[in-house]
Amino acid sequence: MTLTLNINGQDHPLDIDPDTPLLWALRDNLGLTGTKYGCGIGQCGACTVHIDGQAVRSCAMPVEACAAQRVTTIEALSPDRSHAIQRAWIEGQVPQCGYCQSGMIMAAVALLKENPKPSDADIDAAITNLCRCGTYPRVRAAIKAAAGIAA
Amino acid sequence: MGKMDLSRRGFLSLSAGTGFTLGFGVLPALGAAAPGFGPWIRIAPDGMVTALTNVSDIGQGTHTGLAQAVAEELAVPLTSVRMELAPVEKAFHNKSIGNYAVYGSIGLRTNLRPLRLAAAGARQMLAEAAAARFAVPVDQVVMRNGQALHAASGRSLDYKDLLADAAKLSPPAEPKLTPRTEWKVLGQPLLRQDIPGKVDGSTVYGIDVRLPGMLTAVVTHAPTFGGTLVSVDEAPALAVRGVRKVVRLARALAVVGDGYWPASKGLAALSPQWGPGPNAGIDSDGLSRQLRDAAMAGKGYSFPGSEMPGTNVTATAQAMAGAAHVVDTLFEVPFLAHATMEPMHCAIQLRADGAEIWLSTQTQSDTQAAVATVLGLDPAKVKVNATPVGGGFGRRLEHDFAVQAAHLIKALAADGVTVPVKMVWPRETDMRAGYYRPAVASRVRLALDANGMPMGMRCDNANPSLLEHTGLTISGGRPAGDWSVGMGIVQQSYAIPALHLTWTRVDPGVPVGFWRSVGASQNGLFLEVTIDQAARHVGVDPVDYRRRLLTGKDRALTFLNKLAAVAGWGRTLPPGHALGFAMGEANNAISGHVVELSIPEPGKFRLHRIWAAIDPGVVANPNAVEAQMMGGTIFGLSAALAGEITLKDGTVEQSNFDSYPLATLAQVPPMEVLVIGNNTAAGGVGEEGVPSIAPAIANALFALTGKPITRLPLTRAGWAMV
Ligand code: FES
Ligand code: FES
Repeated sequence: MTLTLNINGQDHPLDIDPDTPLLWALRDNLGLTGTKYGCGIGQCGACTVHIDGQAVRSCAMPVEACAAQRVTTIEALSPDRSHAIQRAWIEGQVPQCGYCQSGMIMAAVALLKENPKPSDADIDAAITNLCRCGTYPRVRAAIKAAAGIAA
Repeated sequence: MGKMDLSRRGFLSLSAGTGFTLGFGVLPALGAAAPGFGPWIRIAPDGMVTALTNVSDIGQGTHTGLAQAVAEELAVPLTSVRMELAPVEKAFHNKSIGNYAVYGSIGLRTNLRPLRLAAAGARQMLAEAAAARFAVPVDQVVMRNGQALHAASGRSLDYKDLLADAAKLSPPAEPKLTPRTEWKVLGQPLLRQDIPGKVDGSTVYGIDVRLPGMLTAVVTHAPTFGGTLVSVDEAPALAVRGVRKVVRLARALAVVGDGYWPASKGLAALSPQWGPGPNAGIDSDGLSRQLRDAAMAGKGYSFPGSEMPGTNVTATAQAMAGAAHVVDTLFEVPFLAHATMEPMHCAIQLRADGAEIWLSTQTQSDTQAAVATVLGLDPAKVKVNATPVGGGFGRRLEHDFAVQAAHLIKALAADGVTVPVKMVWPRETDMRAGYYRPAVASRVRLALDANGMPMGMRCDNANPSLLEHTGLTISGGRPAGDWSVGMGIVQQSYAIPALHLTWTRVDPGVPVGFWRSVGASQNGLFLEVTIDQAARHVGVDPVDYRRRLLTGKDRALTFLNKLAAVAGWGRTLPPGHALGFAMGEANNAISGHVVELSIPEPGKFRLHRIWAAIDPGVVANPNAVEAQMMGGTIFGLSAALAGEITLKDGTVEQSNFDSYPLATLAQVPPMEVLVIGNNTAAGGVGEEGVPSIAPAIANALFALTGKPITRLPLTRAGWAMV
């Protein structure tokens, strides 16, 4: 069955099963491997993308459910790593192995869009992504830096 | 990348094929100074410096630290230096470990000094070449920013214009290292070179590798360790669109498809029948009893002093006999999974005369040899492409997944498949595949004299044999004693005059392996909870008690005092709050934690703040060291809070992050990290944050309740963090 996904501003007709999670359409059919597989059950957030601006865990989102929506992945956050969150991430030296960071960044971007000055409690509630390397303190600091909140 | 010509005895050579590039080969002159590693540095015609290393950067910033060292000694900006993994060939093995791998925080420990020496030697040769061109004595030449300068005449030459001349010189016998007081690049908190690619999704990890025509294989294992595949009806998988093949492996089943989703859908459609194998009876409750009984019996292998530094059986027995009081505690910790965020995987392609693999690994040469064995190839015919790694923590020291990929491609080749295949383990397969941190029980007895000072300590351990399970180069040749048993217990600075360690092998058949900080991950708890009990017995503040044990041990004492000071040890705390302290030594580094916590209601504690400190000797990049300390702390926190792998009827009960929870952002309190550099030899950084967080929490709980924590995770000890 062919369905069309709008990914990073472009329409992509895809001949795949409608129950295919968006994650695997991105990674295997479109070669957008910046979005990561960590658990496949919505637990870790490594696969976080934006659907119409909202942070969504793409491993738990069948492609048929996002056919009419705009999907943004880490690759299209900015052309040159200039998004405020990306800059804060580099400045704050957040990533370690980096594997969870695409998802972290997408979650953080969505948070700031909704809530430009999040409190610590807001960050706690919004950033439920798992990071095995333990980058959380720097994730928190970088979100605050990007939001212009003194640490 | 051009191949190094290692047969040349000369230091510098113009390497053919890469134009005007200098190859700094293995240095005979550096043999004594750099026993472990032949350093290799190239300077390209545009002045870009490429330095080779044989340690992967698995997320610690190791390569940036090494690049800083090269930039410092060569007097070039950091932006002109890039690190590259040396080819996986014998000549490039790390001589300090006898293979090509990274573990035990060896990255900077084995590569920093040799690379500094090589870069410093190169700088001196370039300076000499410049001096000849300027016709001045070499001590009038200043090297800066990739240029040789002669201040008096205002002349300058770029390195790239000196390469040909420098190549004709002999290397200095003893290159002069830049003294620490003059460091401008090394030791600075500079931005890591790998991070930009990690904020835009462009870094290609092993699991991301895509090859022309590639298929994807998804694997499930027999539910019991050693279980076998009896039968499977392949039809339901083959009926799934996009599924190409079902492959029966000895103890596993793989479905191969056009991508991960069709393959995993196919796998889910199958109902394989598994034979239980010899280990179907393993049950965590029974194992726990077995471990505890064996530790109490204490009849295991007694390590002689020749195997375990500082042990003395007779002296310890005398200490026990003459003690005024013995602190006697039975500890127990569970199996733990590494749970790297990137699951195990391996892409593989057969070629006419060999094979090529792509994977995230910590152990290139062992993997190469093991894959070659399966395929009946010479190891040199297996090209290993080690990609950026989505977390290692010791799990990627194993190569079970690469071996499986080799068996898989062999079976597929026999079936006429010629395309490359990327094998990927679903999280559930990854978590249940074993190579866990061993489950351990240990009875620790600390004999105290009439003044409450230690006379001797005996530790009776019971656990599986870590070394026999892993089968890696680094594990070999220790049939009787498993040295990991002593990690974090032996070679500590505390004044404990006699030590006796025993090990009873209790091995139910669960594969165990190296887990970030290895033996210290449990022994840190055992030792530090014991020390706090001794301090309480004599009625002395636990930090003051440790000061007594560290009299005359300047480095450790200084460390303790700095950590205590930064945490405000001894200050008046809010009512109901307590501090807990723990420290330890491994890998030529000292690390420790202080936590502040309170108990809002019975069985629940709140962690208010964490202070962590590390003295890794040389601090190549304080920012990266801080990150490692934070990361190690949180890794240890996950284990302390709820981490455990348990088995029922031989089957692992956990399978994903819902049943094996990791610490979350919201759970981690404000954390302060103190990085102390004392400029001795480079020590470890990657593992050092792990061992002392659990005992720091345990000791704070002990301070509030008077009851020692003897079991992890804390949920098993009746504690939940709120
Ligand atoms: S892979 Fe989607 S939440 Fe973990
Ligand atoms: S940076 Fe490694 S998992 Fe988060």
